[in-house]
Amino acid sequence: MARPLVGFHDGCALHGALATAAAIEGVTPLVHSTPGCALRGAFSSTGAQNFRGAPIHLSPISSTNLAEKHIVFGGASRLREQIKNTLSVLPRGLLVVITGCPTEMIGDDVPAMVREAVTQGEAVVDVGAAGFLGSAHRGYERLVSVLASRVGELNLAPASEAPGLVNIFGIVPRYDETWASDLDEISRLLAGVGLTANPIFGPGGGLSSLAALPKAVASLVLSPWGLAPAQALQEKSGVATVVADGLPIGADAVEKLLRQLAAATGAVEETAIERLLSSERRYEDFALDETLDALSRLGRRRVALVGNSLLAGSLARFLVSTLGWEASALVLTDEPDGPLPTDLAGRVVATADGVETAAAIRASGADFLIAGARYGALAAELGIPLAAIADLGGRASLSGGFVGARGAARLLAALTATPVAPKLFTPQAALAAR
Amino acid sequence: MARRPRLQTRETRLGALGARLGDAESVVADFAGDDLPQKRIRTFSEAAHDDLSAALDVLGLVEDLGLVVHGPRGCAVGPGAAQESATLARIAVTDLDQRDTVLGAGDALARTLKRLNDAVNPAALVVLGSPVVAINNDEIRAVVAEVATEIGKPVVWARTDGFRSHIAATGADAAADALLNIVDFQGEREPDLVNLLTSWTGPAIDDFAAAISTLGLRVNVLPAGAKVAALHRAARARASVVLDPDGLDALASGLSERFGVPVLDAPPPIGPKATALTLTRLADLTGRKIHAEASAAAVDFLRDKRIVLAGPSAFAFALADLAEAAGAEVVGLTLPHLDRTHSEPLARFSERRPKAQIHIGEAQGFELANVLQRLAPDLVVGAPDAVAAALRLGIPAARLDPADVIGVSGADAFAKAVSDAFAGAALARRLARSSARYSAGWLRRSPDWHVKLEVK
Ligand code: SF4
Repeated sequence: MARPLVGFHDGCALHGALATAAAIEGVTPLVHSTPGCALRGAFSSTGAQNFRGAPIHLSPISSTNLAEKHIVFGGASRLREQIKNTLSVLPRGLLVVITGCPTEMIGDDVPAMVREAVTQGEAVVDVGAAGFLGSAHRGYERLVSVLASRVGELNLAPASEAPGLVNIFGIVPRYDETWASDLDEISRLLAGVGLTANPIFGPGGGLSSLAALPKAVASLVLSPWGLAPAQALQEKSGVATVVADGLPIGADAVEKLLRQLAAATGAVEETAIERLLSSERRYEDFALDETLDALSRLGRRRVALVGNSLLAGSLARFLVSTLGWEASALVLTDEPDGPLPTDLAGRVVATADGVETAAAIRASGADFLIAGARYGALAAELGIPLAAIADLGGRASLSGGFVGARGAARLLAALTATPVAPKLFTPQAALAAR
Repeated sequence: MARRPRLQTRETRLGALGARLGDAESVVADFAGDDLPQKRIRTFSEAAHDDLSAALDVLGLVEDLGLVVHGPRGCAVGPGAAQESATLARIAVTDLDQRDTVLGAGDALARTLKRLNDAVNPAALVVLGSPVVAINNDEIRAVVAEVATEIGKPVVWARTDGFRSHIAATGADAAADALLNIVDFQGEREPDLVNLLTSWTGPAIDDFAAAISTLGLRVNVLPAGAKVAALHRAARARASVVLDPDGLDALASGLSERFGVPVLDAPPPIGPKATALTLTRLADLTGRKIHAEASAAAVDFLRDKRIVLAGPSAFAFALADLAEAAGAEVVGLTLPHLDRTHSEPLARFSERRPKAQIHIGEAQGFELANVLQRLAPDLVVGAPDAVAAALRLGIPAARLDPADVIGVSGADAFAKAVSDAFAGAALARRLARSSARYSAGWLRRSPDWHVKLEVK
């Protein structure tokens, strides 16, 4: 049922599906909806300030841009025309037709239009991702589940054999802002123990990555949004699912993840794990030494953490188990399904609502905030430091991310670089001080 | 209460075209008669903007306005949402789900308005319609009236729907209509007050406002960076000067029609000549004295250069004047839309450059790539996506936002952008080596093979 959201996080399912499709090299997204639906997502996911023209950072987005007559009489023939012309104009790979709210409401027979193209030998697939189905993360889940379960029908060039291949699920391109860097670092870590990551998205992924999904020895699930795709693949192709505790931040989390993968695949040598862990630990030691002076000055902090489930829980775990800090509140802004973790923080809330989030931060009594940059004003008002882990704009994908010891080092640098914000002067505060 | 008529689309009101490619004189002919130009549609299109985004763009500029989008959550994603915490906090959404698309959600709208009002205490609230509630025919008007009475402050409706118009600027008209419905005309006219209607803020805008002040006039800058109080003041002003006609002409003409505030008839003040013209006409209109300085001799830094300009239409025509004064041959303009409000600058441009190509289409990257490849200009200046398309083709290009070139110093800003574009051509050479975004076969076809006259 409808619920008022104020100052909310995340876009709609169509936006997530679009960002996900556009992050696979060789995939052309075709949005079957009214104008505006696609570009709202394309611009906002990078923090664009100016909603004009075309998004420069994405490859072209085909769109039917339905008009009133299509809403009244149906848009199926417009879709047929757009599929045909898109296949001519844009380099051929896989065409993913994503439907928005208006087309779902008017009941266009999208699968029939897609079947027509497929019977002509074209690689086309459709995904229902109406915005009213939920968040951008939900859109990722829907799109990747469809691709995982129908990969054999997509007319893709067969993938070459890759021993020790591990599919990475649960990192949502652009909505998990450090996605490309995190995928890259996970790939590097897995390569260090003789496994090959199948990242699907970004420069390391692409259509061959998609085609290789069923050949993997395991699917690694890093957030709740990766579970349905991994299970769809397991059902279809028997690829084992390994569910991790979010992004592996720091050397201890890397160790846990590698041992999980070793147990599930039987394809990792213990000596390789130890060699990699030793180098991860050395890196983390170095980072701790470099920041220890500043850390000791900061002292033990009670932190309120606000972020997506991929990152926020793992951050809490690292801060508590490695730095000895306290997580006084954890706000999961992507509102994952299922029970919330109870062991990570004093107060755990799942909400996309900015007002509820602000209330949770206030109620936590935290003296340090790790959240999106949008909460800067609140941190200033509360007089506590903010380490911004989100709302960083498109460049966050190149930032290096939070995975492994290197990710922990970047986190330590961010925590210790954050000056303690002075209490804002307010008339109420002045009166209270008298 | 009688149902208010639908807001007229730009197509109906002004014969707006959103898809067209032709030389300047043929486009002039489209607007020559009394009939509206015949509409063209695309059989292949890339993702385009809608009226809802354009309306959010305009309304988001007023700093103490609360905005409620009535629709599923994605419809409320607005400009700068990820970074502008102040704007973000003022935007709410009813977050309709699948069930609501069948049963409607008037209650949800009322609850959301009241929750946003409690959370941020805005001076007024605006409801924006989404495609979902437009298809559903959800009642908005009655809810808006009820909540306004209950909370005791203005609550108005920006009549956006996402699909009735293919010209995003229709949303700016809907936003203007909503803002005008908030205005409460009280007190006397203020003969020394001038509205400066701008979508941008920045030093060039401040300088231009200061130049108006030298005429002994007070300046009411809106909607960018303004508060609702500035809207009320706007109704009492002596005149309105419009810096961004493409976004704000409806607000200006609404102030004129509803409150008798005349709109200064002048092109956007870009560069010394246009700025002097604007100030002189404003002085005439308000009965002030102006000491027009002799304008500096034009420097022909673009002599023999073939240039394409891209950006909001009124801005692009004004920039074309500046480019030609600098010695350029403007071989093409790429514009989001054209309508009757552009007839005069279009005709003037066509007289000088009848064979220059006019491309009309917003966010249509494949058309841009094709047009630029054919024209092969020495330089492209203006909108970010046109600049990116040019650089990817190996053509030197410079981004220039309208806010950078307002006022006398606009000519210098333009000259600097041009000189930096040529000096930094290495980026264009590098990007030209990246893989192509459109099929080579298609790029050999006519750039408008997919644009057809609409069959009624
Ligand atoms: S919520 Fe629905 S109508 Fe709104 S942008 Fe998303 S898909 Fe489009």
